[in-house]
Amino acid sequence: MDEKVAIIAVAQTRYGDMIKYNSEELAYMAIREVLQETGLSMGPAYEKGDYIDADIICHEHIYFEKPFSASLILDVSGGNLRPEEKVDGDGAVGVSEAVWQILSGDYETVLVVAECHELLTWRSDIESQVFDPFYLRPMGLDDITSAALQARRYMDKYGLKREQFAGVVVKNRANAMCNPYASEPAELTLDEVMGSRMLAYPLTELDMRPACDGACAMVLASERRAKELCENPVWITGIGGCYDGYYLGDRELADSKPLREAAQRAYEMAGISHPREELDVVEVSDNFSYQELMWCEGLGLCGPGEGGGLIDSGKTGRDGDIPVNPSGGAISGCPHTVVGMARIAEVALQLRGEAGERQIEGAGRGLAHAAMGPCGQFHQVMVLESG
Amino acid sequence: MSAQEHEPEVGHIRSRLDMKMEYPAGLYLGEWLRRLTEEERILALRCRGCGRLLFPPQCVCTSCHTENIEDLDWVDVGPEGTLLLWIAIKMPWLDPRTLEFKDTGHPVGIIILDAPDEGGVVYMHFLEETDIDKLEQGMRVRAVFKPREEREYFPTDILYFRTIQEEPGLKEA
Amino acid sequence: MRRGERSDDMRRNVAIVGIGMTPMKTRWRNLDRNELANMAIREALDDAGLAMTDIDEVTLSDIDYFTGVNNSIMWLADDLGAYMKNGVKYETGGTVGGSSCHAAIHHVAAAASDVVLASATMKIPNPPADSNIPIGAMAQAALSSGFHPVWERFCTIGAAGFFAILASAYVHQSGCTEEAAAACRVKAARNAQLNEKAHLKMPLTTEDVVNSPLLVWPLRLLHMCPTTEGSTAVIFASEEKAREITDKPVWVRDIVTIHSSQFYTTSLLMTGKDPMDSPASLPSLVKACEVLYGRNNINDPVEDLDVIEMYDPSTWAELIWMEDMGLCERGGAWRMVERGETEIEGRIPVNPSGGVVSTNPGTPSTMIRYIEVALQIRGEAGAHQIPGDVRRGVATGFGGTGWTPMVLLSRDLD
Repeated sequence: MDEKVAIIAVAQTRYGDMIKYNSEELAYMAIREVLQETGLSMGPAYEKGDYIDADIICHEHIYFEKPFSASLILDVSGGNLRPEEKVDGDGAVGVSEAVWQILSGDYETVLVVAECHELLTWRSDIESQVFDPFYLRPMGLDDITSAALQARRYMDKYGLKREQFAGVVVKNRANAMCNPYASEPAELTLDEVMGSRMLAYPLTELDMRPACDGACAMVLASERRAKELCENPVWITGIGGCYDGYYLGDRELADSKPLREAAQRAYEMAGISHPREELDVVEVSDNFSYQELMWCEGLGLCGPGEGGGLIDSGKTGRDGDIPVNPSGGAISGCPHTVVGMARIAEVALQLRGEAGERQIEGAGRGLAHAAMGPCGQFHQVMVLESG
Repeated sequence: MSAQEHEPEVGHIRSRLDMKMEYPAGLYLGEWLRRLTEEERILALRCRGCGRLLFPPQCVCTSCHTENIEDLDWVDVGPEGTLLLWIAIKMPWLDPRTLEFKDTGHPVGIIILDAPDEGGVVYMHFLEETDIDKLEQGMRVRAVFKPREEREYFPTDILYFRTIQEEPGLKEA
Repeated sequence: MRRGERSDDMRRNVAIVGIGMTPMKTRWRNLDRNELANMAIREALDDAGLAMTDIDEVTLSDIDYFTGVNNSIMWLADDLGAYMKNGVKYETGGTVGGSSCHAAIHHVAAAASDVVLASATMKIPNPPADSNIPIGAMAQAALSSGFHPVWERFCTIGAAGFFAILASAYVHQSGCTEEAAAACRVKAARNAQLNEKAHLKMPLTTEDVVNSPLLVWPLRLLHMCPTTEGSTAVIFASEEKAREITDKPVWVRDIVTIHSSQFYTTSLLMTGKDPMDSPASLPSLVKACEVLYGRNNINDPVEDLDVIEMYDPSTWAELIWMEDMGLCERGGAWRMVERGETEIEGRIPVNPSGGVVSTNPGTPSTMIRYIEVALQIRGEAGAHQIPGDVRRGVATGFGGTGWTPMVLLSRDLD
């Protein structure tokens, strides 16, 4: 990319039970922080000034039983009589949309916010609705059963073990002890993870991201504005997004082809040829434990089927060669819709040196990954750099 | 023959989304509902930035984007107001959640509730008067509450707005 | 890379190079949603002379809540041609057909991609067969769920309620009679008969309209749009690619999007200090026009534009939007219609396609407005083609809690 876009402010709410706040109040808790940090305000539409030029709300309306549910946040995101868009997907996609909006020349500063009240409802009921009502839904497929299918396939093809999946949970939940935002930090053992309530073999309750409420907000800016407004902008140097086919039977569930493709595009854009050496920190969307290992393979951090080796060797630990999910990842508690964006937020904090006790020393270049849809039908990879 | 030309009906699958969903009113609307139900008071929030009355109350002003978080300036509005417009539902009316038919007897009024500000605040709610020919722009109306034991911390704790018959001479009192 | 005089010019010029639109019907009995989407996409690809492999990315408009599917882009991915490509889904109510177009335009202008496809499809789940729920009531119930769950939903009836309020206000303020409003509806019907893809094509008289059953007083059945099924697709390309692909690119000169408060009453009725004096108006449309006209030297839209396709879910909306768009003075739209100025041969043709009031598949409806202006510019609108040179046109969308996306399309780049 010959022109760059930067993240100039980042905020997350605590993830957990936030039921006493409605959507706009919860979203505003994050929005106000980024407004305060940047000193920007909501000016009249399409006028130049120290303003947020436009904003994007990421909201998954089926969780709210309401079409265009993002409207619930509109009054606090500056949508009244101003330009705003509403993406029905993870906040990470909203961030890449903001990049294109800025690079198109239409806006120079864009606020992106993602919010979800996952605790209001039962996630698997909703996730079962992603499956078509003719062939798949009557079989009782939902997020858990489809993930279990994928985990089984992964184990069968490459010989991974449940212990290795559990190892991801142990690593990440321990990492989360240093993350004030995560809802479920914990010191766990492998046995505790594998012995927790079985949901669908081989996945137990602790192999799954816990539901919670929360919001994340970011301000993105053009290169020109970022340099004016921010002392430590985090540059987005690579983006790739890619869809797989829909029917699970059409896909090789153990190898994430769309992730490879998305990663390749992002690496090409960012000029990365050896990700494991060139990245300092990685945040992936581990909605289920086994996914961290699969996604690392797709990102090229190790060869196909070698994901287990990453966790066994400690290479993806806090002190390892390539720290993965020092924040604790999705599995330590992050809401739907926010998961992918929070990974971007965490990498941004790392690159700004603001990751507190979970800081990876000297992190200069990082990767944030988002996955959406059954068994990761869609992946987005974003490369970020400081300086 | 292409797919478009061949016209058998595709199969239909019956599906129902049996989802639990509880909508959080939040802090501001929660407070509004509490005062409505427990004290029969209708509240607006005065924006500390532009002075507008926020109705419903929110943590950020829709117009000037000032946050109203500390030292909230609650203002009583209503329970009387002036009728601006009205609509009367003449078609079958379904509850979106339950798909049950609702009663369409009462027209819905757009009411300007009395407020310390000129202009008042706009509110949509049912009108007691079922004959729309008797409605006039500028009529005065007053909120009528449900009996306490039937209230649910919901806007329908106001049953409807009743036309107030103005009595001559009362204004001087 | 062209740069215009405005500092906020788009980085690259973008054109519409391919258009697909299925016929619009009450029910597409023999196709499921994916097939319907694919049909429009194939037509757009044919129109552009492209294959699916030439498309870099897909942007999708959808409103899942109406279709009983979660995360619909997943199920649609194969039929959208999104396999091994990037894609994004927008949900902005009735404006969503515009949102996916604007996203595609941003992607191309930003050089994320050179050729992007925008898709929108409506296929409506029906009330249970063994119930006595009429489909119209079901549609309004679905729309009612767009109102705020605590503040508004208990006393609203979908779009019909919303437009009844606007109608009520307009009648009070403009002195427009039922007959005068009916003239606007009759014009739409006349135009729709000339549009082979329109949904409602029956001829209408003033009597038909004035005597049609009341839905939500003062709104009558024939004042409101139908519920329609259908699909649309538009292919956008960079200037360089556009010139390779087609000799009739339709240039995107400007896009503007304005949203408004989540509460309809705030959105609609706080336009002035005293709501008793507030004109019947859509504030987001007024603002969008102010920005779009201002940046593009449109001082008199009637003179400076050759066609307008506006999103009119109701006849009353068409009248009010005409005033909001500055086509005439406040309260004067119905007179302008009576004088025939908005006919296909009139001074400023408005909705030569028959508009949303003749065809409303919801999700694609804003995209249809964009498409119809593009067809007019290309000279390909068939029987409803505006005579003479159509060089510049504006299309608007409507939806959500009263939002407005808007596009200025032109035949030439200068």
